[in-house]
Amino acid sequence: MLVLKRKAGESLVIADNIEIKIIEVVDGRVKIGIEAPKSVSVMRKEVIEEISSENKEASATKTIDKESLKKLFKK
Amino acid sequence: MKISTEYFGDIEINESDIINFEHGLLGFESCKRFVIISEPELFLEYLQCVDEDFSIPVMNPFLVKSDYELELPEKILSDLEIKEEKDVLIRTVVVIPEDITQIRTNLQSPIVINTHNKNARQIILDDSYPIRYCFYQKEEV
Repeated sequence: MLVLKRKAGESLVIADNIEIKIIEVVDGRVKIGIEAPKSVSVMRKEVIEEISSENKEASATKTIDKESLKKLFKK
Repeated sequence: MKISTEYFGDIEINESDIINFEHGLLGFESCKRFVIISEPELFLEYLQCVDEDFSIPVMNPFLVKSDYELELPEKILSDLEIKEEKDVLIRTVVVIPEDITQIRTNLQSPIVINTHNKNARQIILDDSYPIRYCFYQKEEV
């Protein structure tokens, strides 16, 4: 992994169209600004991990109690 | 073609029904070809992988969240080659815990299927909808 030191106000440029700017560093939290084309998806990693784990939990369902499920929604 | 599954046994599928997830599903990136299997009598469907024995329950999210709205990003429209709204099918992943009153669906990360060319992707929306939307008795299913 490439590791670089940056201060608030400084930027990084990735390829020729993505800029990552350090806006502010306060108490161990870093505020980051990202300028990138719309086609580039930017996600918090923990969101992706949460969705992966939700998919895993969903797929782990082996048997479902159809009768109970049916009853659940009977009004 | 015939595929063998633990859950549904041996099933015959039409190659024309195969849905292609170029990127797989999050956490299951190697599963790229799926078919939809309906669960009779229930609101559930399953996405069954064609190449390995893997399936995941999904549903029509509008059944439990009638005002569910999503705007498909330009990139998704172009990557999936979506030309008309009527070709779009939206499904969301369902988690069915042992305590089924905790049944929930992932509204933040719907599966978008182009029914015309069978391209599909699980996308991630902003956080206006929850990853865990518990819908037990929320609306009529």
